[in-house]
Amino acid sequence: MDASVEEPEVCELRLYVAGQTPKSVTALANLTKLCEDHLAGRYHFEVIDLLEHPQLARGDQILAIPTLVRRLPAPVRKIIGDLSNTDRVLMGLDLRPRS
Amino acid sequence: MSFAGRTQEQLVEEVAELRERLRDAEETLRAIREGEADALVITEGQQDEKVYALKSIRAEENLRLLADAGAMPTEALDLAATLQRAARLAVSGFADWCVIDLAAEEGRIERVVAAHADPGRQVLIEELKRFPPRGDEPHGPALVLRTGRSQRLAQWRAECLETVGQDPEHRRTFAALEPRSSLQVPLAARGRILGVWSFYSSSSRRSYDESDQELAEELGRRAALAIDNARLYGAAQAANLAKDRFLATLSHELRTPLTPVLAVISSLEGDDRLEVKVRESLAMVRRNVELEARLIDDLLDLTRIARGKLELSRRQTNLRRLVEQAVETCCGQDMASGRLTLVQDLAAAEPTVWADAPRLSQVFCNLLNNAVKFTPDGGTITVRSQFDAPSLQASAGSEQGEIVVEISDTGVGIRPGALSQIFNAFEQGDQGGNRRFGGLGLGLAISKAIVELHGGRLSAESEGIGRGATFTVRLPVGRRRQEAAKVIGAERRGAPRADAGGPLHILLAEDHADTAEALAALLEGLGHRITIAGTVAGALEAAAATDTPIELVISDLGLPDGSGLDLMRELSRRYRLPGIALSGYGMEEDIEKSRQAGFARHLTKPVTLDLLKDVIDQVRERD
Repeated sequence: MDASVEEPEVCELRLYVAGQTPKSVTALANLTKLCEDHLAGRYHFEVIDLLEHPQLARGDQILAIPTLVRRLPAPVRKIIGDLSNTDRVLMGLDLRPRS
Repeated sequence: MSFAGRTQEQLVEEVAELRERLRDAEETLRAIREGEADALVITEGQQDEKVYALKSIRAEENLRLLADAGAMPTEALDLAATLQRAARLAVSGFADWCVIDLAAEEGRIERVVAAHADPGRQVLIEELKRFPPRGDEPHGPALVLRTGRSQRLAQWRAECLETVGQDPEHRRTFAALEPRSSLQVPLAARGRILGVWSFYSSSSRRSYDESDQELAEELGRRAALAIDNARLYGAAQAANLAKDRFLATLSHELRTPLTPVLAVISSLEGDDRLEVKVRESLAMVRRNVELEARLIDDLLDLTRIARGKLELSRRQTNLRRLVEQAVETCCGQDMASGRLTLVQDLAAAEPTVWADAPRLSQVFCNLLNNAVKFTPDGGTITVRSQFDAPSLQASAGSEQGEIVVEISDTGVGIRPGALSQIFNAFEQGDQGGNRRFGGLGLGLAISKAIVELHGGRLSAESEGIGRGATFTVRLPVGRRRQEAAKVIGAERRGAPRADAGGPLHILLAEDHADTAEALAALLEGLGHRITIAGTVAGALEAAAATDTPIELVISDLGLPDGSGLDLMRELSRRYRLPGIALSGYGMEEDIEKSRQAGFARHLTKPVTLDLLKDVIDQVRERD
């Protein structure tokens, strides 16, 4: 059993988008489903629209959108893309032991 | 124990952070390549920042498509010029005056051109631009735009004038232009109605008939195509610029942390207090960091090639030695371990070519690395060269014949259908599903461009999957006599001084403390004396001190209180000091800017000790 499961930590996520592009919409839908399926009750996410807050891109060094940033637990992890590959996202978030 | 000012823990942490950044960057490129993400470009203005999400970083494909679409004269690719020319054409006989309206965002209509045959009435007709049609109007351009059908009025009567115009002022202007007959045709291209072209007769008293309408519709179709092309071209160019910017930002992000890491590793590798095993591991780390730096350089090269800005600095080059060195560097390990067999047959009798040696090495290393990468254990790599004497029909350019270098392997081979695409950027032969092999797929595109810049050719052959591949480089044997003489002369002058090159007092302007310290340690290792300054003001102060004058400046370009460019301008004005720029940015504009500021050389981070040493020697010779 994975050690992180025994001591559930709240996952703090940020999804960076730039307006309502198809990829951003897909990413948001994928993220919502993924959080409910795998992180129910122990996650918190916010969506940052860079069209409104371009200066925020620098803080997390965002080079492409959509980008998902796991701010907590440390270390910060980034997953780039529309989050359609669930396995890759779970691995990126360290929610699944690496094989 | 401390390594170049760091504890072991700090070092481990730095390497971990570096690995994380590289992983992020590779992941970014993967996601963009596979269409899961759009590249983000943020332009910084004075007050506001603008954000663009770039659908594709392969915008040049749009340009190629346009070029293929037909003979499009380049001057017609400017939208404003296209419209003006169309309007001038219309009023040189067919109409007395004309107006072009284009559909804009959110149902708005823009009146972009109003032209009159009589220059004296141009001021009057310009007034019409103040009254662009509204999208819901039941007549005129708005109607044509909605329906896509032309409107013809053979004869304007006084009561017609009553119905047009949005207000009395508009009506007065319109009446003053004395319309007699009119034709309004759609500007339709590629299935979309882009706008409306309205033709009017007045003093000519011409009355438009059906055949005039047909002609006007044909004019409309042609103009619409030109307008659409101009718009697409504009969009593609903007995307291209944004793409270059994105790549520059990305490479900067990637390069910056590599500099201190490379510097620390180089110094640790030479530290004999460390166990041999540790030093071997460090060599492995360094090789991988250098590999990553090469990938970044490839990205930058690609943007230079796409814009025709890749420049060669040529001299007489011994091709045999260059190929031998490339083989040693790229294949040495796999040969020594017995993983692969090498057959080398460099028979070319005349091995001298007029070439940019580092660039040509890059080509051979690319080809050899590919051969090694794509050949399974127990395979063979064959490197052959031969001299092709000039044939009787040879053109002036190849009158001295060609050297042909062939690199063959017994590896995975290339599907016949894929042979024509492997020289495209971002392509690897096998694109089905997972990419089995690492790398960005830029090497062959860059290699081909470099060989062609040398006046040569690069081609590929393969009998199919699993049957190996052969890459052939053909280079003209040449000596541009005049230029060759110049280079030899320069070498003779420079040589004695290079041998006598003693220690220098170097001013190092660099605000990143880790980088500054690591670089200073390395330069001191070469026997130089180093003064570090973290700001422009500090550097100017250090240069003003007269006890031991500064002889050379090495400066980062982004300093906290100003730019390294300003610093260099000031130092070369006051003391005529030679300088070397160090920057994370390596686009040709950046290099040009630092050259103009007075830097003798512009190096892009990360910089290895060997390169820095060579450049210092070159700059000191030039001085």
